[in-house]
Amino acid sequence: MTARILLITRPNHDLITSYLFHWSKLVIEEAEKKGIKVLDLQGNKATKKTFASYMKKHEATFIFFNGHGSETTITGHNNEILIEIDKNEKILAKKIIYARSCNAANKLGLSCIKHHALAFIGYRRKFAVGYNPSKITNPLKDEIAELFIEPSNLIPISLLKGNAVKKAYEKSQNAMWRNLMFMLSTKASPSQKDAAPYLWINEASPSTEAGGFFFRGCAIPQDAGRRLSRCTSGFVLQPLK
Amino acid sequence: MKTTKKQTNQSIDRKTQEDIKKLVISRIKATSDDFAISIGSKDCTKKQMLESVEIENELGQEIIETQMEYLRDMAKGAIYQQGNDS
Repeated sequence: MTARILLITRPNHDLITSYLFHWSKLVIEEAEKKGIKVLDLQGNKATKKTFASYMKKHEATFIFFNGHGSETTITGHNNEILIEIDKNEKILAKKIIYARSCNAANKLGLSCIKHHALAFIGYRRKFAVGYNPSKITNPLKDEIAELFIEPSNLIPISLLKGNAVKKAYEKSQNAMWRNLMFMLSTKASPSQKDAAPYLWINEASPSTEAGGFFFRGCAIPQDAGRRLSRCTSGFVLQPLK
Repeated sequence: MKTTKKQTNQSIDRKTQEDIKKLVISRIKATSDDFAISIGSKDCTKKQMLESVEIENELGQEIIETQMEYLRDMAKGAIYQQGNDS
């Protein structure tokens, strides 16, 4: 299944949202190359009112949130709540959602699936990004942030290329691990090495709890549950038909 | 007064916590000045990381947990295991 309309929120009101704002542009470019229509709620357009209006007017199949979040919310410009558990997650029914927001895969992700979202990919813990303080005016040139954000960009890019959700997730995880191995190598700069523990918390967790992973009726390789259950990124999935 | 087993354990726990804090502080002191981190909605430079860990505020605790989780997983080989699973 290929997402034909991408709706992306990318607020830009503080340092981390500024980084995600700029790096998300690469996803938009990829979508445009594929001829996919992009609805770009950037900067101060990422408000609850505009988001709700776009959701109503357009049949977006893939929703990509960038911004702060919690176990129960995903926010937009100036941390205005866009989606809140038990309030308006129903509007995400029949959508594929990737929330690059802290903690949202916990309760909100599960609730979205209960309310018939096709898939929800998000983070069960805080999303960390290492950066070089001298590059904050030019985030795309930040060689530390690149190691964190580029693998997460692979999720939407893979989906836009027509990959299934599980495949997109795995590609991202593998890219993150490759970056981690680079950071541990002699090729990495000292500051890239220093960032390794923080990339690791984006990638893995000692937690063995099964919560957060929903596979309804789709075939999953035998080891997938074990591997995914170790990941920080919450992965809530329904099969794509 | 006789020291109970519980008091002894608490004392060991406090000592361990102090050692962990010292270890994390040493690791942060050794980091490059060109490195900063954003965790959730909080951004911090090396100096701010040190201050946060020192006073053990929410961000400081987050940093301590992150560093310790990384070191433990490195020691267990879990980091390399992740790659073998891929």
